Amino acid sequence: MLNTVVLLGFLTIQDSQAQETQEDELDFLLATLQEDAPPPNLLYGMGIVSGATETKRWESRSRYRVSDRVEPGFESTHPRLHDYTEFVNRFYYKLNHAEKGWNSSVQVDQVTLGLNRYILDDRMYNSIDLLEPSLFSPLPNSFVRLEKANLTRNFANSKIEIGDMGGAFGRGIALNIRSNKIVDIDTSLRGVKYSGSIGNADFTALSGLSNRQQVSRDNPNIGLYQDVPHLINGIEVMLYGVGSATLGFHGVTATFGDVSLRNESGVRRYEEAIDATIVGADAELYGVAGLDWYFEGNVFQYYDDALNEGGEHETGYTGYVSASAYPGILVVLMEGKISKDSERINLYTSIDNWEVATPPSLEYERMITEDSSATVNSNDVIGGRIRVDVPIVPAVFTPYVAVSAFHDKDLEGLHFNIVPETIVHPVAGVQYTENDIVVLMNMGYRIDDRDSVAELDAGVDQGQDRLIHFDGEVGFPLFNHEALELNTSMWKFMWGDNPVPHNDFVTMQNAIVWRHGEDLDFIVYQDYTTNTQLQSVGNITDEVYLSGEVKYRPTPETSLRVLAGAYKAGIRCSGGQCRTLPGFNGVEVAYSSTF
Amino acid sequence: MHKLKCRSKKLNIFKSIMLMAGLFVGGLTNSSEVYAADNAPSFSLRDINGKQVSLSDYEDKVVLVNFWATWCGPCQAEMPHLQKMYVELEEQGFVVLSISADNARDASKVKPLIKRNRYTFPVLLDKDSTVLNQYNPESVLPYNVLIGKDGNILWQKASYAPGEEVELREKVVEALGSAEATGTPVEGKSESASEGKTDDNPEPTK
Repeated sequence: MLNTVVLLGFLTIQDSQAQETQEDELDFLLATLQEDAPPPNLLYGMGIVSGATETKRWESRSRYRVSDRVEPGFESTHPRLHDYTEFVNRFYYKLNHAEKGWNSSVQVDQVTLGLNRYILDDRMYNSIDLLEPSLFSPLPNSFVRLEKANLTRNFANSKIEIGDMGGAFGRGIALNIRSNKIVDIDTSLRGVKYSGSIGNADFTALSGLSNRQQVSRDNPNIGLYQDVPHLINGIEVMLYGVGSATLGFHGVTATFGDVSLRNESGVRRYEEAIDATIVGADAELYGVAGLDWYFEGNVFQYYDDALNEGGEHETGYTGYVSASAYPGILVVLMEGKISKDSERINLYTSIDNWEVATPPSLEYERMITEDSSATVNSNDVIGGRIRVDVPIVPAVFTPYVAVSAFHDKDLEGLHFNIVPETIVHPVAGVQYTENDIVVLMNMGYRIDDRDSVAELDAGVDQGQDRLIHFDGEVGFPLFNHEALELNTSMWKFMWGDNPVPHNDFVTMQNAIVWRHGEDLDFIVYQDYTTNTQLQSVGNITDEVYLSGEVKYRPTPETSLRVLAGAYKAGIRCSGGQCRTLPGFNGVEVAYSSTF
Repeated sequence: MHKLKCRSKKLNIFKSIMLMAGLFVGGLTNSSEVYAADNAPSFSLRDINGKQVSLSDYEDKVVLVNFWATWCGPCQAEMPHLQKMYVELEEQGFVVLSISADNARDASKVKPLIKRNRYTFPVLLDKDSTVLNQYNPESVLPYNVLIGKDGNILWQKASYAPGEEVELREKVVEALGSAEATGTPVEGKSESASEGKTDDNPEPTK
């Protein structure tokens, strides 16, 4: 600001100079004023937040959900009793003081249901309840919660986080808690995390109670219940620059809450006995024998009766190795995994749709089915994958081939088979990106051959599960600022023999996107499936779903989206977490703004 | 047959619409410029070779923080443009800090992707999404944050569609504020020359 005062004085005594010179000076003055101006969202005053900047973000979803259910005894032409509306709001507030090295954020979630009860002549015909008894709200159709809160303080060589945070050690085999909003999972640890560096060593220590999101952003909010806090403690030490290697050591303890006591305080976990421990070590070696290597091993110990099934599975282990090589123009990635009883660690939390640890699956997760998700979550599997990329023109044209193979001996959980399975899954694809043209294509064939085990299958061949799949994305400019994008994925699944018969099915998901400039998109979605296991029905025919969407971005910080029609239910996996997402039929208006 | 009577429904709809309208108007009436002046939250992460990289290492540079993931198609479409921009404008004080938002379990896939595309900008790993959540709570990918030399956020945007790199480049050139940064590659430093560069993580300024 001192610069500005001096400049003003200087300009005042230069009246006699030429007009052109004055304009130059004015330009300079304006530029200086602009540089000196504080950020408009800077907080003033004498308090601890003085000098911080604030950011607010609001996301909103308003839905009218159409139901196909018909109430018995009502005429078919009347408005549907089971249709209802849902309003979901998520508000973020962030304070950031870069100079003093701290930032803080809170997230508040809110949901309201409407049209969710139908009362006629004092009789309730239909009630869609937002909350179960374990959650209280003064308004029965509305719920508000302070979902996340975090305060982070950075020091010269360390950082402390208080509140909600994530945690991941190694390749996520021992601990991998983070928000996964693609599948609408947002679990954090609410506690304290301290991380720091001394020389070439990094260390992290954390302790917190799990905090699963109560209000879903994309999934239906019906029958919300109090989540059970589980206590997770962890410590990790990483040593960098040990020769050409990085070494890591970690340990995790878990104390799980009883799902039957949902209203019990999470603080009780600190008094209770530890239910499971995981210890592990990893090593990353750079350029050894021309390859980049990664090794990790973890041992699981279960003390809880439910986790170890009455003492039958007290220990588990997982080993993972990857090696990448770059011979000539090729890029080769090889991965291997062996896992026994390590998925048991997720027994308590998978009920609530999240997982403490999610090891690499080596599966092609873009195309997941009930069958392959069983392998992802297997408690007894060994396998590997090799992928070879051929960057013929780097960053422009790269075809690839990949093959994964597993032997899955787990017969519980999501597995429908009565004998172990041997799985082979080749995938090939290509990536082309040049001159604003984008082509991404992948196709594969997964065969899941049931072993012959006389004592289990009584000599009857159990056949094979087979999956053939293709997915692609093509985008190209049209004229002026117009562009077109086509997305498709299709797969056919054929079951082997199962104790509970399932039908083979074909599924397709297609989308056409017309981009009108940078701020306006028109999209048509079309789904088709003959999978009778899905809990959704099409709006064109039982098998065909159609919907349209308009996305508009009036400012860089604001977006508006309107979707009308239906899309199908299905399994979706991201980051090793799979979730069966429900279908939708109706209208959705979504709005988000940062200000 | 029964007649319809929906009093409770109407009341709920009215309340909900009023609430939504209030929040909507509240959101629109706030200036977007306020948001753009936020201080960039500081962070320190390890790169794909184990080196520690902090945002503060690039205090005097214009920094584009690019969040992406190996599974994200639009991210793969955008990254060649970022590489081109990085090569052309690096000497004028521009750096791309590419942050992989891949899950810890997918960390082994990051370096092979960078190698096969011959990207030379620094690539950092954010395995537990700490930095992603600070900058981009909605977790939309790709997500770009342009940070000026003064450490303030100048511009940020989610998603990518072909052609949008033009707007991004304009913002970067504007931030560099240099007449030289007009799009012509620096003499003697062509894009093809950079392809042979083996260092994935060029040294920061300090």
